[in-house]
Amino acid sequence: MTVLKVSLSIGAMLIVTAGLSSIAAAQEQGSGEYMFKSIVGDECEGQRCIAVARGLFGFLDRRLHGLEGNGRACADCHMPSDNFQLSPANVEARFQNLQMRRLGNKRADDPLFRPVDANDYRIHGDSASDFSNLRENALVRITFPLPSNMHLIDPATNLPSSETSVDVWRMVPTVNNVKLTGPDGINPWSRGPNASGGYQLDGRFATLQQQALAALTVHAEIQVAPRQSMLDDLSAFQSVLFSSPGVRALSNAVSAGVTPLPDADPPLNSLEQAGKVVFTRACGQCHGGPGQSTPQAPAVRYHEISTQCPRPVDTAVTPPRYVFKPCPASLARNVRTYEITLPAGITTVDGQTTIRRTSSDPGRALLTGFVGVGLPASDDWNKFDVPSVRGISKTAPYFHNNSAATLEEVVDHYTAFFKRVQANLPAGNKLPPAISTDGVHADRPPVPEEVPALLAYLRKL
Amino acid sequence: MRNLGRWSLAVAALGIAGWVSVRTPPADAPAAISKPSAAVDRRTFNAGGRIHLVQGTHPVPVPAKEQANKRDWVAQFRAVGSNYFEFVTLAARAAYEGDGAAQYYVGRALTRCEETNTLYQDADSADQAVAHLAVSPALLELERREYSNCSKFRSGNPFKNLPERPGGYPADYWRSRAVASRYPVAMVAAALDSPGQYTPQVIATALATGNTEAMLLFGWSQATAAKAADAAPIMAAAWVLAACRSGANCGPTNEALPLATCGAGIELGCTERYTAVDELTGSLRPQDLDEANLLALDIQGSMQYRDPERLKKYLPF
Repeated sequence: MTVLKVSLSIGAMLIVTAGLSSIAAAQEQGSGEYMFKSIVGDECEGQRCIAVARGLFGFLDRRLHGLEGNGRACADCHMPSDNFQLSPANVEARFQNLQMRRLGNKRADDPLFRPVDANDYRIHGDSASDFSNLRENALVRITFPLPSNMHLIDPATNLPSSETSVDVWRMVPTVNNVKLTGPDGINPWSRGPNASGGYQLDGRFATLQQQALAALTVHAEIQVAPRQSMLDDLSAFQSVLFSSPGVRALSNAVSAGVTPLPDADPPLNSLEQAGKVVFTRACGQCHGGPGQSTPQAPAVRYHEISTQCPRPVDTAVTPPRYVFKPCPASLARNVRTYEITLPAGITTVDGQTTIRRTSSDPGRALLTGFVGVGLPASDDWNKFDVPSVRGISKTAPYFHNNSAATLEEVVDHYTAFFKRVQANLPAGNKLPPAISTDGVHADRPPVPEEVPALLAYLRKL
Repeated sequence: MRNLGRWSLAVAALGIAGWVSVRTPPADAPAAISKPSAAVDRRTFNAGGRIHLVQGTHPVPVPAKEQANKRDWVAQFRAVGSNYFEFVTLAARAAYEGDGAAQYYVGRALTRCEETNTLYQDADSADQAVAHLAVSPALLELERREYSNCSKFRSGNPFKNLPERPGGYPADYWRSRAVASRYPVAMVAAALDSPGQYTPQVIATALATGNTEAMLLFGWSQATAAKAADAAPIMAAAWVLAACRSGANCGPTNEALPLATCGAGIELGCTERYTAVDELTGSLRPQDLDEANLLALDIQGSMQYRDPERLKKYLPF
């Protein structure tokens, strides 16, 4: 047993070391703040440089002077050594490292592992210690008040519970390239908040300052509101973080109003070039615009792409027309069933005024309560904003719940998704623009022969 | 925002407790210089975190006049950098004997180190404690120094020459005494930190002493609380400019200002010569800066009368 522990610890240390190697390498290349300048650039991209520098300090600061936080810094979850995101590999490495340290220091601490992000927090409070969602999937707890027309179903009684809020578990997105994402003022959804996009997976924040405030409040558990200037500084810092020099140059061109915009991609070989053509056709309808995060009308702003649990299963025909990778138990455990009261005057075909839906994360429905009205594609159930895919080669795993480990799994998922869209299309309806250029032919999804090229291109992003 | 809501209640409770402590100095403290003499209004923060004043009837404590031949505790405090233990050891006796400046800065030093020691109480070592700052070697070095300096409070007692006191001599004790001593910076800090407890009269009275650190703290606090697009920063900036021109420490060594990055080795956006005036110049629109400069001149002119009533029109609430 001891041997196993030591082996795990050594493994963890190796992973941590690997994770930090980019920092060490950067530091070796120059004295002082080489790493800092390599991250933010020398020109501060239109932000005030001192605000950027303060923002970096604030981003790394676990003390959060005067705010009475829980010891977490932004960087504890948006790890600089992990492209400002959080991956299961790094979480587990840190967890194992913590266990190893505790052999010598029983009170050793890593603020990533705070009770608020333990699975059993609602049961055990500050003594909660089951970090399965964090360790296995790098997911953190996000709590939403339930809209007035939504209730959770108590699994023990199958009746609506008295719960007034719900916990969902979401990945920690990178803060690279946020300058190119967020609200863009175009192609609005039919209801808010932030009908034209926002920050976070569901687009619920209009500004980086709002996002930072919420993260400090929920994840760092601050007890005192931060000054606006601190939020502005954090925003300034995040606004100079880019996944590549090409994306940085693109952002600068956008800010300067330069047209045509430069191509942010690095040099591509012929296979990657072919993949880019496939990407533009198959993915660009939704992952469009400079940030590759703006759906291009007539494609709609917010989408469900069937990444929640449980995943759809085609039971209508054999063999099934589409097959999604089933949710593993580590994600399926986060599923809850909701009872939704329909708006006045609206009933189901059998006259019911309520419906039940099951999901591990209903997405924007938790912001609006707008569920079960019209076609499924037009309500808010399971809908998320479209994230940027710039830098995607460095930010595995993927999707809001980190359910795709690799880009291959992402492409496989979308292949099934496109098939499902076609399979579920009501008779007589046009194919949606996300998969069809003319409403008749499903000519956007990649064919199997194109997948290697598409993957080659995605790996260059 | 659940926690912030809870905090609002906590602040209200602390504010009441703080006021009681203002009215009632600690039992083992030397006698207060004078009794409060005017009216205090209640104050709250509005939804935007901005000060909102509510009329009340509490008396206003009158700030203590600067005493001649006192040590310059402000300069001493800044001179030691993060070696707060050294400062507290040096100032403990004066603070105990009623020097408001010593009390206030001892409180500030202890607050900082209490925070640092709490944060790193379970660290294996200094290296391990600050490892999360590896991305910024300059910040890492600053933090490592502070870790080491603050850890001196764990092994040493800077108050060993003072009479024993139940509960010891924590930061809260000294902050309360500084307010009881009517040290202007402490009064402004208390007014800013305790929503609903103080009036414009309290702040104006503290500012009217001409204490430049109080002016700076007040102006900077107001400036950083507001969104850049709001109008209030102009008046706040005027107070900062007036303070800096009147001799306040407006550079990176003033830890009350967020200028620690300047001169820390990062060399991005500022140097050790950067000041709060540069910060305002860089962040305000030119026309707003011009307006703030004119207002600052007015404030400086009014300050010579040491009359709180003349200053009220310069308070942004």
